[in-house]
Amino acid sequence: MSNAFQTARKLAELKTRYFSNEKRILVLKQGDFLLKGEEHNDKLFLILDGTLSCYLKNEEGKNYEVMKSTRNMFLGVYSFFSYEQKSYLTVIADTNVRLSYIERSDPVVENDMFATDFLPVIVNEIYLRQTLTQQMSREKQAAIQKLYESEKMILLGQLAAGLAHELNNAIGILERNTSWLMERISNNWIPESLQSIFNTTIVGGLSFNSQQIRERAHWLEEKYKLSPKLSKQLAKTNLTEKELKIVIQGGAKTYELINDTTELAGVLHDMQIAAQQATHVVKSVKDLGANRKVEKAEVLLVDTIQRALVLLKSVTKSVSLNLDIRTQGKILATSGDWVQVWINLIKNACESMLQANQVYPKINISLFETDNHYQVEITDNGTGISTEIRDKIFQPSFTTKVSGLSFGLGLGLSIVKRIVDSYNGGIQVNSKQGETTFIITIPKN
Amino acid sequence: MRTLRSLQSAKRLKLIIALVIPSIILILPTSVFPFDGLTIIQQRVIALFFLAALFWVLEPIPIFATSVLLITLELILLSDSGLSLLQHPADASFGNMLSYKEIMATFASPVILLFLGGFFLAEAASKYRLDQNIAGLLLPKFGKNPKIVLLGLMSLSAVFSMFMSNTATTAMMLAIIIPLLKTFPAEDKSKIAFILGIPFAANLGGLGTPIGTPPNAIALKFLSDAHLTFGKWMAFGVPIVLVMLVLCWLLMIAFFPASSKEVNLSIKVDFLKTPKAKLVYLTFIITILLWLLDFAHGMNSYVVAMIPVCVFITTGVINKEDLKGISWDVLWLVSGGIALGLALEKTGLATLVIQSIPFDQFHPYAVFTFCSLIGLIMANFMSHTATANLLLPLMATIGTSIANMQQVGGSVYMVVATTFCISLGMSLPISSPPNALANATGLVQTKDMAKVGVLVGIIGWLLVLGMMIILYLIDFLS
Amino acid sequence: MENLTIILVEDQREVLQAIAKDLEKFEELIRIEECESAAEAESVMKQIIDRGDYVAVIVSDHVMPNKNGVDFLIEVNTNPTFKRTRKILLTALATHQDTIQAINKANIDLYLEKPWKKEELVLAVSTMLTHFILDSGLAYTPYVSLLNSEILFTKLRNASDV
Repeated sequence: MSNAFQTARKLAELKTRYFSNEKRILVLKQGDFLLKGEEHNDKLFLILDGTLSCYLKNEEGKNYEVMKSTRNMFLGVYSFFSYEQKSYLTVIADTNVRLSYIERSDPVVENDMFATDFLPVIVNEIYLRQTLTQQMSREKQAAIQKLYESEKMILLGQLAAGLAHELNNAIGILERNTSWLMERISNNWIPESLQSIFNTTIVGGLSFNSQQIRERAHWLEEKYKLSPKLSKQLAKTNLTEKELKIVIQGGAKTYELINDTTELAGVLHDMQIAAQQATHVVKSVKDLGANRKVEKAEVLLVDTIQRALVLLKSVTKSVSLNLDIRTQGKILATSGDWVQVWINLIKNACESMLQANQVYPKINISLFETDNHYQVEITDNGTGISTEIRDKIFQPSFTTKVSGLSFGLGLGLSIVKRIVDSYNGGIQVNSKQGETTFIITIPKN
Repeated sequence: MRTLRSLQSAKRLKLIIALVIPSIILILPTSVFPFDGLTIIQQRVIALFFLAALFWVLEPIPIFATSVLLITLELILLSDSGLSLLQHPADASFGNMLSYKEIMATFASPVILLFLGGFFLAEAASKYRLDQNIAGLLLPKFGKNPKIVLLGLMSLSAVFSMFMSNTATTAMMLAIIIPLLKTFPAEDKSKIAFILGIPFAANLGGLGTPIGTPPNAIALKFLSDAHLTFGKWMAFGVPIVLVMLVLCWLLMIAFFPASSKEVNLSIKVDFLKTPKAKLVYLTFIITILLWLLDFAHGMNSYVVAMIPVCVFITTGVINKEDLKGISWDVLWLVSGGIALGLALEKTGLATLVIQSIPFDQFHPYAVFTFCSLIGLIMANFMSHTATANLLLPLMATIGTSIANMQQVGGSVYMVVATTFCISLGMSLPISSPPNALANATGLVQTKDMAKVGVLVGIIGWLLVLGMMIILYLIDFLS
Repeated sequence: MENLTIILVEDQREVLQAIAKDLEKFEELIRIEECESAAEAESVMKQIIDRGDYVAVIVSDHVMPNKNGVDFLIEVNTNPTFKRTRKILLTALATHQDTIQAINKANIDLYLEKPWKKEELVLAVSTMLTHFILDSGLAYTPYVSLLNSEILFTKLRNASDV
């Protein structure tokens, strides 16, 4: 026979033997005190219906919850059986409660049988209380851990924001001075005849890809018997075949000049691109770490998506990305919120595809509007999300990640949900093998 | 500025030239040539000589490959087991064919095996770091005065290169000296002296022994009648190395004076003490002693050379893998030279040609001086061994077949003088591999190398001529 | 003298240009092929091999679309034609996992971190080139100005005069 069954039978016996007195019934309303800490008590209560919470005072005199007692549990055990006859807990009814009790002065208590009858029940009770306390302490530990994690994230966010702020000035100078350098060189140092070459290269950088450069170089090498090095240098200029011909006929002096000009312009172009890129990244990080309490402003959803993609460049590099933007999506929001939403969703998608060893990872991001909403759909071709875990993915502690690089820009899908909820938006997942879509709807205004 | 394109097209052009000219010579009628009684075989040898010369000078293929090409063509065109279509023995003007066995034997002629012995010694020495340790042991003995340290470095380089290749010696010594030079002040000119002194000393040291450098091997082949022993070679080789070394050192300290007062060389010395290492040390000493004392035991230097080969192979000092590291290319390059000499001599072409040129009209000293100068100049622009391959058979013939050359000692003196002059070619980075290595450090400019190199070449050339006269007067080489 | 090639693979055009610019001095004697993807590099390398020329050194970026640098170099490593080709991985973010894979499977000869310094890259390439030339038994003398002399001296300890 099981222990639980035996205990239950014993309890039933005790109930009929000691707690069947109709006069010894106490009824409490929600919020009533049953016992107060450090006060006299000579009663032993058995809960017939309802729930009560037990509190202890901490060092500062504040009550904190130790456990909850429900039906068929005893209360006042310590004070009833101890010499002190003082309750160490404060017990308050959570719901309306019905209790039955006995008093120390009752004759039954004097009976020899009393101790024998109550010993196992009381031991069980103590065991039960201990288990409850342990469980609570475990939960508390988990809560502290989570708090710690999120504090770490916040710290990281602040750090990133600080870093972004510091870099902002430095990069700003680089970007502005590059532009200044370009202008000055173009105006003062480049002869009239080379202006157009210089300016087209400055604007467009190298307009040929490496394959085209190779073909052009090969052509020059074969046709004009130039050295490979020179052919490649000339191939990299944005000159047409006709212009090249003139340059080559002009002899060494001319193409050295042309070459220097294009090289200079190319370097300046690359510097500018790099500076702009850095500015963009810094701005995005700053937005992300921005104080959420700032006033909401008009934000274009398309911008937030772009910014998220800048930050995720290293992650999305090995993924073929397709953007389908049908509208700009003007809403009133804090842009950092939405950058964070997209970062989390896109990063998740990339990671799940990489984990699945998808050979051709693809992500499709579309933004369009319906009558009352903007809708963003993010689709990947990873393994998909099984139905068992689909409900859990928005819970804070949920993760399927096993390894890999993670730079902790967010707290995952739980944050996504929280943010979307705060804008009265909706989030929905459709998933099957090889296609998972997150659909986010955001009300206009 | 050299560019890829010019190099590539130049290579193609060189190959075409090197193939077309010999082909033309081959198909011309014999009557075109200004030699009476030229046979078809002899005409083929002329074509092959031009082929070899063009390939060795222009280098469209590696020079050792040219040797193999040459030997193979000799077997096909000249040997008694060649392509029968090309043989007309009945024709009186066809000429004498060479024995195919004799041509093939050039791959294993005694000088080749002498060099193999030398290679084995060098390989074992570097495998057991004997060279490095000796350098580390002796260099600190030269103190801290930069001039004396330079002399020490150069002397050691010269001594090592008598038994090891000039290239390996230079590589080892430069590896020792480069870290030291990094501590020198930037404007200190003596850096150049240190970098140049090593390859120059190594080049000079090569003259000291028969196994010092490959041109010596080819010389030995043409001196086989003179019974030039290892010891006898050293008896005149080492003194000239010493004199040249001191002169070269003086030039170095004159051109590139040291600005610092002190140099601190510290090299880790760690002689291996394993049984195999001890065996290497012992074999090294015994082999050199046997080479020097051949008059006492009767074994000539070629036979002695087989002793280290045998000892190292049987004891596993040199294993299968090390065997692959032996410079077979150099041995084959030398074989090519020997085979060319064989063809020139055995077909009678050399005598025929030399006799057709009126050398008799010139003073024998003039011929002597001119020939050695040619060797010196050619060696500055091309491989020393290839120069020797081309020139030495001609020198040997000039020496023997021209009557009044006997006044200056005949072929022995011609060959030795030319061989020495070839080793003096060191004025350009392309002159020799040691020079190229010095150039690779990026610390010397070509003009510095040329400045000292040209002077060393000219002084050396005059010295060699002077020494030859002395040797002739005391009748040392006969 | 043989035709040697250095292959550069980097998907970002500006970065590719920067690498090529740093390695300019090698172009005097050696061809430099710039490629924007692993696939392009593969086709260029095939052409080089078909011409009978050599791929001496590959400098590859790590994170690239489609095929990444490590996977590309793993394939190069398994191809016996390129068994002497020296491989340099240029990487901005290398995790422990990537490093292990690169060393174990791709036999990477050298790791360089982005952003790189010009001297560092030039030294790396010249060292790799020296190894390639000497290991392949090619004549080193035409290239001495481009080679790492320290490696050259160590490797020529058994060399002979030619």
